[in-house]
Amino acid sequence: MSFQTDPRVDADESVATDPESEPLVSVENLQTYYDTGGIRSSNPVKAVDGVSFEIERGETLGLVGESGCGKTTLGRTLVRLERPTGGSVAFDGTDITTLSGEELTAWRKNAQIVFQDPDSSMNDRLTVGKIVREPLDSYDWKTPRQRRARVRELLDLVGLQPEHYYRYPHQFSGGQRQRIGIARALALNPDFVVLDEPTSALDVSVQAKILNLLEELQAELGLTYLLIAHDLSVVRHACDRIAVMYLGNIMEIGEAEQVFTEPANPYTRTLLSAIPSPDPTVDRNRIPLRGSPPSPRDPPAGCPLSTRCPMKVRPDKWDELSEDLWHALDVLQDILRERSKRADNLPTQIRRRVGLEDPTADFATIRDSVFEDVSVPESVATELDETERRLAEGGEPAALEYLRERFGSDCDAVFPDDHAVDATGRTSRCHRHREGDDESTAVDRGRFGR
Amino acid sequence: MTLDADSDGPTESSANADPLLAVEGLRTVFSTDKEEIHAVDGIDFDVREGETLGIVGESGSGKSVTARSIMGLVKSPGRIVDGSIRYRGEDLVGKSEDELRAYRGGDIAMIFQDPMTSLNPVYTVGNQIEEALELHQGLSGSEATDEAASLLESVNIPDARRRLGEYPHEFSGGMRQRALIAMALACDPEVLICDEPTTALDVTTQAQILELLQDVQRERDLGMIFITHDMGVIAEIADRVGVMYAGEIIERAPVERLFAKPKHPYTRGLLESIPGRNPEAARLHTIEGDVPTATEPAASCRFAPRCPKAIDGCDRVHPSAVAVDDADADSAGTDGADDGAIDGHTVSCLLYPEDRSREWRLEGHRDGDSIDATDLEGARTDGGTDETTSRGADATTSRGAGKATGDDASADTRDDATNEVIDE
Repeated sequence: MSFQTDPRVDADESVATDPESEPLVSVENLQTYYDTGGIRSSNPVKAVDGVSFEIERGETLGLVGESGCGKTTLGRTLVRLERPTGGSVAFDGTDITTLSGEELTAWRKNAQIVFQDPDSSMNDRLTVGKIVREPLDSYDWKTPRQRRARVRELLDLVGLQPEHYYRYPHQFSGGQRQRIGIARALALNPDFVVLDEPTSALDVSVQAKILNLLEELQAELGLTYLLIAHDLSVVRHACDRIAVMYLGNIMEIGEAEQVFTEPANPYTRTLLSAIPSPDPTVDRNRIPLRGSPPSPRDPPAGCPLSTRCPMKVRPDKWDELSEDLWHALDVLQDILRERSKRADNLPTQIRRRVGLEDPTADFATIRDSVFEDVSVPESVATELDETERRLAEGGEPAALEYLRERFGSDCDAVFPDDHAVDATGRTSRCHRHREGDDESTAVDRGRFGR
Repeated sequence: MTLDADSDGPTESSANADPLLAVEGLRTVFSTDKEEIHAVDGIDFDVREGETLGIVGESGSGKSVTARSIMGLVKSPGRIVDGSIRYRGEDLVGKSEDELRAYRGGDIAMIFQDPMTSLNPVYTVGNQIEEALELHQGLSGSEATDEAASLLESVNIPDARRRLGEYPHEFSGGMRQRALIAMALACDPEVLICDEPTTALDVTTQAQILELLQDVQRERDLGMIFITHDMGVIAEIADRVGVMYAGEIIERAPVERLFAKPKHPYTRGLLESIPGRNPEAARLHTIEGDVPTATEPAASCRFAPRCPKAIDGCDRVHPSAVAVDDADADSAGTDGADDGAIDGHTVSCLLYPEDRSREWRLEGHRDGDSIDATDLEGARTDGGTDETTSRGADATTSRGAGKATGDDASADTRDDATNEVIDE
């Protein structure tokens, strides 16, 4: 099917936009924690851990990051499917984090969401017409006859046929189901739509159609989008600005093209370099990111990326250490961190208390295998001996604490500030942006080439 | 320049390197009360030591069924109805379950898309790797544990010995896929089939896994079949590529060549619909319609209904593979000649060979695949075979101009073509 670009909606349906007005959504230090106040541990899951940004009217802000970084939670919080535990979200000037009851219901018309999985996000026992009509029904929108007419109009708007009204979701392909989801989200004429990975379950040729449709709808209806995606090429194509999220924090946010062509934050760089390019002749200069993200229950004390960062600041006093040795030290910490996660349970703690388990039992083996191919100077070896002693005394957390103390830098201790990195208002969180720290030297040292 | 019916062109000049695995004319059909689904419909390919064959296609194109057919994992109501799968010369089609089991895992191993469902949640990862070691290499006890630990280390899982005692849910997604790769390697296979191994992973993890697979392949000289829907991944990992559409391989070429000079209108459309390939374009290119389900043997080009460049005849003649290496003069000076000598670029499309008249092409393709001219699907639209032929001849002249412009994929040519087909 093909789409015309001419408006097929009544004039009164398009949202009046005023370019000079305030941003539509303005987020200030937003926090969404899960699982607060458990019995044993008071560590909540810090899914969104203090983010601030704005979304202008009519723009598309892309939100990218690895799975588990909190991007979906952030999207759900913005439409109040989750209740934030801190900060504020000003929508058109109203703080929506405190809304409840009728006020919340009335506001919800303005902000809708399209879900990732078109299979599980609609009731298979309802007809398509009923699914799209549901928001209208629950808001008692006009008369039933007008509602049906509105549904037909919506189906047409998203490129479906009127006869699809009486069919069931399972009779549609993935792309068509996503169209149904979009029609449902648009039923009440929202200003703001959160698109949570709307195309990640689709094939690329179908994805292209849905992305084109979303773009047309935005132009026709004056919509404002938050597009959540893990596919960076999708975001680059569809978004005006991009926010890069890691472990509940926004690491970099700015104009899409700028972020793509000159990424400032080390995390953005690694993320971009990991995209497989659909061009076999391209020379991939891949920046590896070790391991997997830490648990959002227990994020690193300093920079969120410090446990994996390929550009971490090294302390001056260890200036003579080789990159291979640093790598080995990182791996050792990875192992201890992983083990400390495993040991954080009652049976292990008791076994250790009564001497049935020795946390240092195989430390020598680990040490041998990790430092197998690197020469360890005497000074470092002494530190490792001490690490073993701390491990015996206080378990993994104590050993890690010691290693951080001896080999860590600001990256491990201080949460990085937001630094403006170009004239377009792009900001990035990284200690490397501080004055006098020339990040390119790190690149030249060949750390990226590993 | 001749039509190459069996499309075994790619292997002819490298006869000295016998393929590890050679698939010929494979057809896998799923029969239900309602209909027969030709999931894999006559595909040929081969894999040699140390090379990666990429199979790319959208969902429903039959790529996973291809993998399962090779592994002998196609279960009722599906069955392999035709063709051969030769592993080092030995045909695996028709072998009993017991005989197959010796190959499966041992010689040909497979990695699946979803690492969580491929691992048993109630056994430790160590258990599962050791089981494979016991089955295929006869190791047991501490010997098996040592080998399992070194396998985990070889796929870059730190603290391997401790990790052996953990359960799959304690592993992250990337770790699980690493563990599965370790398990596949436990059997010391010659051929590794990867069915969308990175689709469920983040790009950063995907990059790690792709790198690992490449390392492992290099170390062990594995023949690898890599199935994915992601053109970016294909560009990265494959040496040669087959593009699948509705159960058929419609184009095959060395990877650089496929991306530089795609020939089939479907391949072109697929490449153009990837966001970011040309960032300036405001709208993404799309392919009309959806991938069809093949419910009948192919009697026409299955892509024709969606094809922007369909010509009269596409709905009646099933295209055979045409070698296009030397056909296009403009590539001869660049990379074409070299690639052509080792691996062929073939395309199953009635637009090729380009230097022949439309009539010649229709005849050639018809003979090429020995299609019975009386049993054509196209007959339903125009009512009779005789008429079909005469009409075809008429159209040859009228489409002369269409052919000339048909080369640049443009929307107006598509409209032309569709209109003409409908009008007539």
